[in-house]
Amino acid sequence: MENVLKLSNENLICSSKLTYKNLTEVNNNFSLHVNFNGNEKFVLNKKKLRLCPHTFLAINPGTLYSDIIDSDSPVQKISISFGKGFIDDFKTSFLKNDNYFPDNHGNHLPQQNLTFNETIFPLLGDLKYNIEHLKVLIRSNCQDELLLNEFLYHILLNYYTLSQKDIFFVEERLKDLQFVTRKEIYRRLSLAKEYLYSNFDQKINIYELSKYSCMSATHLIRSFRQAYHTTPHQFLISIRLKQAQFLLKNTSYPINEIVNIVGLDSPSTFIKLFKIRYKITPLKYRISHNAIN
Amino acid sequence: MRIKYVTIPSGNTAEEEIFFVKFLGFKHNGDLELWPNVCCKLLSNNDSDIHIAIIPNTYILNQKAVIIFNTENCLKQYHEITKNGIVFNHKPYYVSAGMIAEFKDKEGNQFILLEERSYIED
Repeated sequence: MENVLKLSNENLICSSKLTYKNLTEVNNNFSLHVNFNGNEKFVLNKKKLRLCPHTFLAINPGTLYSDIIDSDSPVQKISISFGKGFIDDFKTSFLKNDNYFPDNHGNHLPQQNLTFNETIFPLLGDLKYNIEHLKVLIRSNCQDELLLNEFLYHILLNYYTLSQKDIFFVEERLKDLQFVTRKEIYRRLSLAKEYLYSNFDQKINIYELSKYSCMSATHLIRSFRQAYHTTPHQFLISIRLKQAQFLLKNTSYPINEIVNIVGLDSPSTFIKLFKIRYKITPLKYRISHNAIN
Repeated sequence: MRIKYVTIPSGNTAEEEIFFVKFLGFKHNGDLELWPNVCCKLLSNNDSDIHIAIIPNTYILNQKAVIIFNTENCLKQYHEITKNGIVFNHKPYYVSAGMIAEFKDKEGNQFILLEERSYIED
């Protein structure tokens, strides 16, 4: 099932629930791809990425990409493609009204030439809320372009805020380095993060990760810790626990299977890590969530 | 003990009633003498059992009310109320409690649409 809504200003919203998809095309406009369940693979130029539940991918105009779904159960997703005029209007209004920038992070003025970071992000905060609302509107067959564009404006704003905060956060922690070096390290750390998001269910070797992010293993671990106050391994554990939490909430898979799906070694390690992180055992978490529902 | 009436002071209670009915979708529930010689207009909507009581503001000099409406979807509600002809002070924006949008009536009473959002990851 695929529901495509093309607005008169060239914005495009595609809500789908598919078990199979294999599309290769050049992305005409800046687009966001949000996955709600299941797995979806993307090939961006030469990068092989995977979107897991509650993550999203930003793709810049002009990028050749493949979007691949091959799953037993339907994968639910939303793709939003922002028309060029809409992006231009956003940039203009955004730059003019910086004082009204919601959640303005420390008077950090945006660059004149807004660029978008083409990588995987977790679906969080206001972006998550606004995407969820948009999903409901699409499901209710809303045709009100004014309302839909209002949501798209906020989604773009939320995305931009999220990506700028990420950059700002890292640059603040690496402020002893030169500007150009900071930018480059941020880019490479983003590569490391997207590798971890895409391969969290695999046995990840620090040398493969450092090769992917074009840094030595020592430099990667040191910079990652400095930038995010965590190690790549701890970050990987967080992704695995988050995915396990999603599976506990939304599926009836046994714990052993969840442990395998998220790439952890053993149920006992999983239970221990889950309890440390969420202060509740996986089973109790599942029971409490089922009770709420 | 529970809150039953929220008062809105107004110099023109009939006009204020129209504002609530026409623009915000409230229903008139009758008039009531809440205290001696003060007749209030009672209004409600389906979302709450708390009544709005419009009171003549000759009795409460220059007081303004601030009413916070809770909504599940601030942007959608903002859009619907805008379509009814209300002009908001700003476009909806974000605060630490969630998303809000503000408007005023002719009397200067302030109304806030609030969609509460949790930013704590569970």
